[in-house]
Amino acid sequence: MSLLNMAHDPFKAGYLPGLDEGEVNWETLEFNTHGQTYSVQVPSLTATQYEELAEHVQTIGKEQLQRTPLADIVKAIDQVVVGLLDTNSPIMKQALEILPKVTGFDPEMMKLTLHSYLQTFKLIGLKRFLAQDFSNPQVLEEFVPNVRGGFTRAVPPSLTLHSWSGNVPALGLWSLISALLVKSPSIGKVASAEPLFVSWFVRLLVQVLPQIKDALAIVWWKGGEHDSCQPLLNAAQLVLAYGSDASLQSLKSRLPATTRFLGYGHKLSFALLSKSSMNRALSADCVSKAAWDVVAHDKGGCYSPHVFYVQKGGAISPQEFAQRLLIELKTQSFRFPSSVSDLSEKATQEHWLQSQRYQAIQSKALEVLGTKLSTELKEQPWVVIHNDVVNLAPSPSKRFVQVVAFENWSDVLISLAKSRPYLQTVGVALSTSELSEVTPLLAQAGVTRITAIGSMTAPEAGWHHDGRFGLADLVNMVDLELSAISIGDNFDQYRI
Amino acid sequence: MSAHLQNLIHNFILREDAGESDFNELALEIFHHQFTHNSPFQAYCRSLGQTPRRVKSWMDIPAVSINAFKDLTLSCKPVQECSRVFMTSGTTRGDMKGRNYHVGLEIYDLSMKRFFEPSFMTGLGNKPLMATLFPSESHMPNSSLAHYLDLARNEFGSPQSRCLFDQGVLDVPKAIEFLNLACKEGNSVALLGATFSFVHLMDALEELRLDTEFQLPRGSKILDTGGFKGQSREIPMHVFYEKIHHFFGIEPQQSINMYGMTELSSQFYDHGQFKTPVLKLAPHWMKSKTIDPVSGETLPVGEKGLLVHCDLANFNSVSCILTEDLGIMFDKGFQLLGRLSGAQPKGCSIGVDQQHHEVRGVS
Repeated sequence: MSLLNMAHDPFKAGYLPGLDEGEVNWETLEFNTHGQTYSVQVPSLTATQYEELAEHVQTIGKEQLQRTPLADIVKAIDQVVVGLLDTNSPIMKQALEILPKVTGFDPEMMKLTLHSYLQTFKLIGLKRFLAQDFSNPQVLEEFVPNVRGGFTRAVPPSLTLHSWSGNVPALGLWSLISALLVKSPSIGKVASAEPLFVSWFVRLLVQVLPQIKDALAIVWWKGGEHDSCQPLLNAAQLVLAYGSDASLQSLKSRLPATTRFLGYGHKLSFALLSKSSMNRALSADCVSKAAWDVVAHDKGGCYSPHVFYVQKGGAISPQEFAQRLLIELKTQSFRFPSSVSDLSEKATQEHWLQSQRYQAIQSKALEVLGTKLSTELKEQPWVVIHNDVVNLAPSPSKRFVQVVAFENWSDVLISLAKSRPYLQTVGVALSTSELSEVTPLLAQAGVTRITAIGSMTAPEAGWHHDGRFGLADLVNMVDLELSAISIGDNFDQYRI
Repeated sequence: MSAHLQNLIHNFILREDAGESDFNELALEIFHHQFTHNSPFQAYCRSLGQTPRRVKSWMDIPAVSINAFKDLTLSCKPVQECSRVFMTSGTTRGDMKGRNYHVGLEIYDLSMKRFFEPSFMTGLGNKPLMATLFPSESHMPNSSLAHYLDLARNEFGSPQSRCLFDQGVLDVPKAIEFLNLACKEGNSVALLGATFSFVHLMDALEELRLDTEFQLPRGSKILDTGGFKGQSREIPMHVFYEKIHHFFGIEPQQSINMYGMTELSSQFYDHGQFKTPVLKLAPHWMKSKTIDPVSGETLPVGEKGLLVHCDLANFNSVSCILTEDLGIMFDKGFQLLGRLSGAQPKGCSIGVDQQHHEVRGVS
């Protein structure tokens, strides 16, 4: 693994095979964290350069991927990932030093979340990705017999464009690796908020597997500014995009009608804790796991919980749970301080908090727990308890959460209805009998992932992100039907 | 009590020599009044541990988020005794609109007239021909902007002045007729309205290929307000003022932007769009500061923060307002950096205001 090194300037994002980097215009993004400024160089291509890049990747890169056995690609990804999992390796040391500076995330939290995220892409995880969607992964390399008597092959897009958001560090790895597993050449657009990790990953990967060095590219443009990248949008056969509804809509409107678009818009996730989990012996563990789901990624992921539904009638009441959660959030915030909010984020937090306070003035059923900023913490946790109205609503990022008390499942389900298109993950603390009762109801309500509390921010390898197939959605299945083979028999020279 | 206080405010607005300590004294008296008579406000102050005994300066008065005008009924007088209520047009939560209750509009009107005159009328001559581009007060009785513009036109405009909206929409033929008259008259004229109404008018003129037809007489002015938040289309403000110049021949220094809000009873104005930074100025009965929203600390001059305004004319609801506007304080006024668009989440986690997207328009 010592073979891997950051040959390139670590503060330079992007990977542009086929282009002369000297002819590329580089822009500087400035990151202000902890009173210091860090500069990252990002490529800003012209329309002609985008056109050349797209052409290069989808011709030369495509051939390279076709020639390379899937097993070699899987092995190379594993090799890079295992190298990155070693937090003492020079590369990872450097990465863990730089990423907190750019994202503002706490270094310790970054280390833990990144480590658990990278575990997903080890050999065993990659095999799970493949097995999840293809009973015979060989289908990605050649026509294989199907149960109907014919043959089927999965054909990847000749060019996949990824547009990543910056809320979760290294987020782009997921879709980039997925595209590699189906052997699609990819161009990924990194977010201004975190442009580096995927760039490093790609550079490391092509060191390990130089025979696919032209099959991947990493670019950047300012969010929402699509003018010069239009040639790229025209060239891509498939576009995978992460972001807000508005940014997805805007990107989609720039694509030719025939381009397939897979958008991962913003999501609303929550936790569900039954009274059977609210017993004296086990609830402490639940509280600590609940706090971790909030603290990890500063509640900025699509799977991060905004609301904890806690059932009344347990040994620990929803109020007591809320009080414990506040204490636990404070404790964990000492260990993993949140990133510093910018002004508009802070303003949103304060207006939200004031709004909760006004509602608390009018209704005894609502309580606001927390205290004004203390000097030790960058971001004070706030917990709002709703004792009366069962409702699901988003709360600001970082350490703002809501605890909603409920009695019956039906009340929870009713409250989910208005957010149906946004629902994603539910973190549960339920007995198995409760689980079997509630799971079908949650599925019907629009939830797409049910996981244990404490695991909300770490989806399994091969999960159905937003209910969709990770790999199968990327490819076209091409069927060679039995009839075509049968009729062919008639035309063979050697027929008798 | 309220009559006595109104009298004090009335006199204060008319004073020419009011200093910092006079402002403070009256601000604290008004805070005491609001704390005593506005019970949700009192409960809010108590939840923050603030009472009239502890508050020693207008800077310490708890600033109330404009959201509170949606969540709470903020009125010292029982609302049935209030003659007017102005409501915000936008809403995040169903039909929840921000409501600012006014006992009467004597102080509101006095405040408006007293500061409008030096801020906008300078150089326009006595009773110029004036047109307003916004629905009239009779059409939108709960809009503070409709009231403001009708008041400006009726008090400061010539008898031929008119509202160019009919039944809530821009009446293009009427506007063309007005512009013809204005060009013929030879004296400087004034156009006042919502920023977006000007865009509509310019779009209509462009469509009719009349975009350079109406070069208004020298010295003419426009007053726009509201910006583009919540509108389907947004153009940068400097482009907007360039277009105003192109269509009407009005120089950027004759283009005044008014900054006001339903939740206040006074307005801010700049001195035209030609100096940088363009500063918004307040009358002597209104003061502003910027704060760090989380710690609540007042920020020094020159540092970017969230704007808080203390408007002594806003005596029946609350005088100190926490806005959703970002700005930088300077010695003479503040630079407005735009309205908060909700914390833009960096990716796929939902933002607080995104599920039911807020549309704040002019109000």
